[in-house]
Amino acid sequence: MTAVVEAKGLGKSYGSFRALKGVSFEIPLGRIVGVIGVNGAGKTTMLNAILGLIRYDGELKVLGRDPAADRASLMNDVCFISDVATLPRWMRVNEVIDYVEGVHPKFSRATCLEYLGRTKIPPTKKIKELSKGMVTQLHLALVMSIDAQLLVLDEPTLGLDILFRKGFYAALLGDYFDNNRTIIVTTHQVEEIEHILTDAMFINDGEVVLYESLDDLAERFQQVTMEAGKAEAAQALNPIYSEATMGLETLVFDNIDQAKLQAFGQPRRVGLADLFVAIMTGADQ
Amino acid sequence: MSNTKTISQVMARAKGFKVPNVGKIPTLFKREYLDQRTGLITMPMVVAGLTLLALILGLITMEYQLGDEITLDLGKVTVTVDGEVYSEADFEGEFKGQRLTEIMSKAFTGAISFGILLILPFVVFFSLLGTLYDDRRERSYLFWKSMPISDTKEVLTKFGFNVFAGPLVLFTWGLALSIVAMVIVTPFIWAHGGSAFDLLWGPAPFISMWFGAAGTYWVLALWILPILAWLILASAYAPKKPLIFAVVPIIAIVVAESILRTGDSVILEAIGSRFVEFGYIMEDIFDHANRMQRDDIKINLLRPGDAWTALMASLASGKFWIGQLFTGAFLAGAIYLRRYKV
Repeated sequence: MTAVVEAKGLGKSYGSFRALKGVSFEIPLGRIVGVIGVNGAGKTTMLNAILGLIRYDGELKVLGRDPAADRASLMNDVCFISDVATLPRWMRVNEVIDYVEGVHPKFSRATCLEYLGRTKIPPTKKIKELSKGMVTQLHLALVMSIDAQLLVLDEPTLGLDILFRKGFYAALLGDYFDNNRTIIVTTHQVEEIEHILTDAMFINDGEVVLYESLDDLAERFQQVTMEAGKAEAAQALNPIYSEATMGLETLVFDNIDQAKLQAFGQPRRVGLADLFVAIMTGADQ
Repeated sequence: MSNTKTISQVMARAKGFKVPNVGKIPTLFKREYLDQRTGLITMPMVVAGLTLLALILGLITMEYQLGDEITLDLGKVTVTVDGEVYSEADFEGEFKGQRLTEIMSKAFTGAISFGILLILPFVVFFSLLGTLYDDRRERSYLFWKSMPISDTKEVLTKFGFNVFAGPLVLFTWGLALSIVAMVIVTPFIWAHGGSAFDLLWGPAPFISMWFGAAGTYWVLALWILPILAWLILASAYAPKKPLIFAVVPIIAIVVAESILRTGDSVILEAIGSRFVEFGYIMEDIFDHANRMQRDDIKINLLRPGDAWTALMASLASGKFWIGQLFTGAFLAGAIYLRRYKV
């Protein structure tokens, strides 16, 4: 598989603060990667490096190009929505469409108008007059009308209500994503995007602490709610995390045979959010 | 559909010929134009409206008070006030020797646009100070940077539009205002027996004035280019209030110079010299024009040829080119900041 992003020892320092501590990874074509980490973990720094918005140390290739040197040409094949509401507030909806059509060789006006036709966005309104949800819908319509290979979304649905968020990811998966595209997305609403992700990357303190496909994660991590009196014995299997709610203790295990776990209770898949909490707090323990 | 080969396809076939990528510049210019709508459309529209209002009130007042006493006739225009007849020959001072036709036509092409030309420096000044700063403030730079446009092209098109292209819109407003004003005055001329064509429309130099004024402004802009580039650098740098970040460093240097008692302020001299040198060039041109022309013409309007002469004189000046070194440095700084300051 072709690598869309290749990082080797990718680092970034702001003064003495090392936001990114020499991370290495490869993101192949046709994946949807969720980048998950607490605020200040280095997610945005990593994405900014990939998008050519900042300079960095180490090696980084995006679609075979060096993003810091080649941002303009890279943007022919890479799209991004960094943060909500970055569209120019003083422009009208149709003026933004005209602009993108004028500067982007891979933009399809027809596709964009079709997406917008499904929304209630009035084409002659100024962006500052639209609701936050509409601005996001417009930005997504613009981005999905560009035939790019890599789409980077950094908290694209922050502050939007649940219906907009659901609609956003449904459109992304239903109308846009295919095997020739890669999507990298960060969000705090991990549960909501879990079902669309193919891979998860956990970032903590400027380091990639976990990067695996969701299928592998489902196999590797199991959680078991302990049947009465069995919690003590389960400690022998080195659970990475334990949580007690209403007198019931739930343990999370890394790479333990399912048959062994069944002795303590029914093993279940660990949700991405729970897994993140387990790994992050586990690392601190 | 056999003839659908585009020019670029044909060009691409010609071996070794690289088409410069200028295709996106009209779109970038259009964006700047839309961004500057207040300064380029709303403000001049208000000024033009007020100017016309003043003109109409003036005409009505004049008509009401002196209406019966003015007689206009080509060749012998006379104004009768309180029974006394004044003609062109009686003009005193600055207007002595002027022909009324020239005064009228020049007033309606040049002077009437004064209000619009007055806002031009403000539009240029604040558009340059705001352009890169506003992108950062409203975070839209993240959207602009998601497009395949280099930061160099972004900064240079913003600079080029706001310095050179945007002001042409204001000059065009001036031209439109002249024409509307002349339409308004026409029936008044007719009412007093004059020929509007001979007195006003015929001699009115509005096309030549448009090119002359715009061209001369461009030459001035080239002279003060380092100052204008400094403004866009402040716009790229300022964490807030770009006006303060543009002005305070200059004041700081002036204060430092006065504390160190280095004599005349070098920086103020450098800033002032951009205007002074341009002024010398224009003075020469006017002096020359006055010598060459008939004695009876004293009011000079800018002509396209003057702008060309001024440009040639500027290009031959060493001070002009020293200034452009600073222009280059400031623009490079603005591009660098646009590129890496997130």
